[in-house]
Amino acid sequence: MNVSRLSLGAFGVFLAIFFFVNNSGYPTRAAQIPLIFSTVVGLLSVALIVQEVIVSRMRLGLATSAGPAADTEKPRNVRGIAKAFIIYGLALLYVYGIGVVGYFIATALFMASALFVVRGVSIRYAGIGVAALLSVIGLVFFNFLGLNMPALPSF
Amino acid sequence: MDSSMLLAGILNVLTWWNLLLIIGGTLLGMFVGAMPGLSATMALALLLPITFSMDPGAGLSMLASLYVGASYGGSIAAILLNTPGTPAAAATVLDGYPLSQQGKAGKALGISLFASFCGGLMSGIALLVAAPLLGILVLKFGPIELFAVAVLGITIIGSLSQGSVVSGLLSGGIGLLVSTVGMDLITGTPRMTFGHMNLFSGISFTVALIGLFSIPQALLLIEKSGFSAKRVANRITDRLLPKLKDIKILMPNICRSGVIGIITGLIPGTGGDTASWFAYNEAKRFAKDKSRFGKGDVAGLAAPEAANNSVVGGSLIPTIALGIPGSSSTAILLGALMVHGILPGPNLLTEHGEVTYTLIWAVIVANFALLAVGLMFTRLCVSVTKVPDGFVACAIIVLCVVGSFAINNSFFDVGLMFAFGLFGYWMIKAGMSPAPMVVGLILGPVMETSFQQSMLIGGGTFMVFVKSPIAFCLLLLAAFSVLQSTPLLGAVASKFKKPA
Repeated sequence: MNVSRLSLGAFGVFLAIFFFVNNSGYPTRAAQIPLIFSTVVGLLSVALIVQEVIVSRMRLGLATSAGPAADTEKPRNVRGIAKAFIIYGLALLYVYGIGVVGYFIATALFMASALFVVRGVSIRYAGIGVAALLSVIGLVFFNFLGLNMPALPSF
Repeated sequence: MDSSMLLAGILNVLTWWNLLLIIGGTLLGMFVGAMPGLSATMALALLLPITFSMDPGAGLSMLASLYVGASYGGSIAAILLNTPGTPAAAATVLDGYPLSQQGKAGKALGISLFASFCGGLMSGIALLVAAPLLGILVLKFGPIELFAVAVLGITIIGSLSQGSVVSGLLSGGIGLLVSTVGMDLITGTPRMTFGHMNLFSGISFTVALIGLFSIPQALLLIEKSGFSAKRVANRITDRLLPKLKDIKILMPNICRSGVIGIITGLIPGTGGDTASWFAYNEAKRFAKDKSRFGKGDVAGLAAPEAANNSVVGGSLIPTIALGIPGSSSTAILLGALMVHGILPGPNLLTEHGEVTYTLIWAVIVANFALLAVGLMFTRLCVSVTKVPDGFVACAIIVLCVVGSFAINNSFFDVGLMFAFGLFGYWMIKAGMSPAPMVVGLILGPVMETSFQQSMLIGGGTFMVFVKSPIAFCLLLLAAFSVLQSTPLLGAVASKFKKPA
């Protein structure tokens, strides 16, 4: 059974109820369309859950009749997924860090830590790559677009 | 067709600055397309914030050329690495890689480039001719018909996108629901804002776009990095420029594939991947010697390449004429128009004709730029394919942060982008395409405004949609598009089938 699919269906139901309940308090004309959309999303989410349950039961039935060899579900790349979530967490820290140490230092620190987690990129390659990336961003976003972001530490 | 707008459009494109942007966009598109794992949609989403400060015509020219460049770039990795750079280049692998193994990588890339150029040019011309004609017809549409068009758009994209029809429609539905956040356009009531000032103007479409298309791609690359084998590209040892004799033989195949691509592009929800497989099969069907397919037949290489590039113009036809994006990439182009205050709909060709014709001409000129840039820089793209996935993924995250901040100079947007990114990753894991959600975000406000206006016209009754024959037909078509992708229609049809 695809757990992501099931949980997404459940989230869809939650989202629909959340929108429906909140929009119910608004004036009729403002609430009309969100109420229609939330009803549709709710129904589709339930349909997704039902579909997933039926499909997985059918698959299970087929697998049992054909023996254990028929179970061809791909093994999950747990290490890869864990790495992805670590980088995601680092990225959130990086956004917080921009306000503290400025964009350029925060970016360099994020790239260094993220590449350390990812592995497979040599230090020389990473150094040149990060320098090139920061130069391009500095030129395009800070120089050309005049981005109003703290570039360097404020202290 | 308004000739003054047509002229204004081409004059806008032919300025030095715009030509430079077109060349730059094409080159960038080629690089992105050549890197397996990166898509044109992601590159367009990341480039979008850069175009904010530009004149709308210039920004759109750059984005359109990137789209054109990436459509060809996907074939570079397909031919040299046996890995399609973009999903649209999957069919190119079948005959492209065997050719490069035979030491004919230059010939394969040259034919792919020329087929891409011809397909792209054909679709550009089709766009120039068909969009205004369809636009004239659409001008007769009122809010009732517009609502029906928006419903049709979301149902077609939802039912034809990756995964089951339920997941496609749910993705579109979530997009529509999220689009209601913010101040109501009719009554001015703040909806789902919880007193948060940043939400009063609604959820920025661009923020959602960057999050949904770029962060999941980066996370998927991180997941794969370290587990996939090191990429070894075949070397280009022969000449890139195709021979006139080869082109002459391939021309009917390229023209047929170009038409297939244009027609496929016209259907919202289908993309370059569908068109290229369709064209490949047709090329095989028309071939005298079918046994050579899959072993390095140039016809099997030219067909998908002509088709996937001709999808560009084809998918822009409903985008420009109806305001319904034909693909996720054209949704971003439509988003670029919205950023400049140009709302999707039938007025694109009249009120904003100059910008729209600039976009159409940019697609045509970008194909000429592709031919020139492709001949000069294809060899350089080989080195791009060697950039490690891990580095590309981290660089994408860095660009996402700076890009989403650039929209409103707000860290709130960066946080929102990350939330959309995580949701997009979750959607992909669940086998659900984020493209309908983006289309829902675009069409949501259009749908709501036209619905409210229709209700006013009809005195608050839903019968107003039945009384308009165009709207009724479009809504029937929408219902059919959903039903045809469910087992229900098949079951009903089998009941009526006469037993043999």
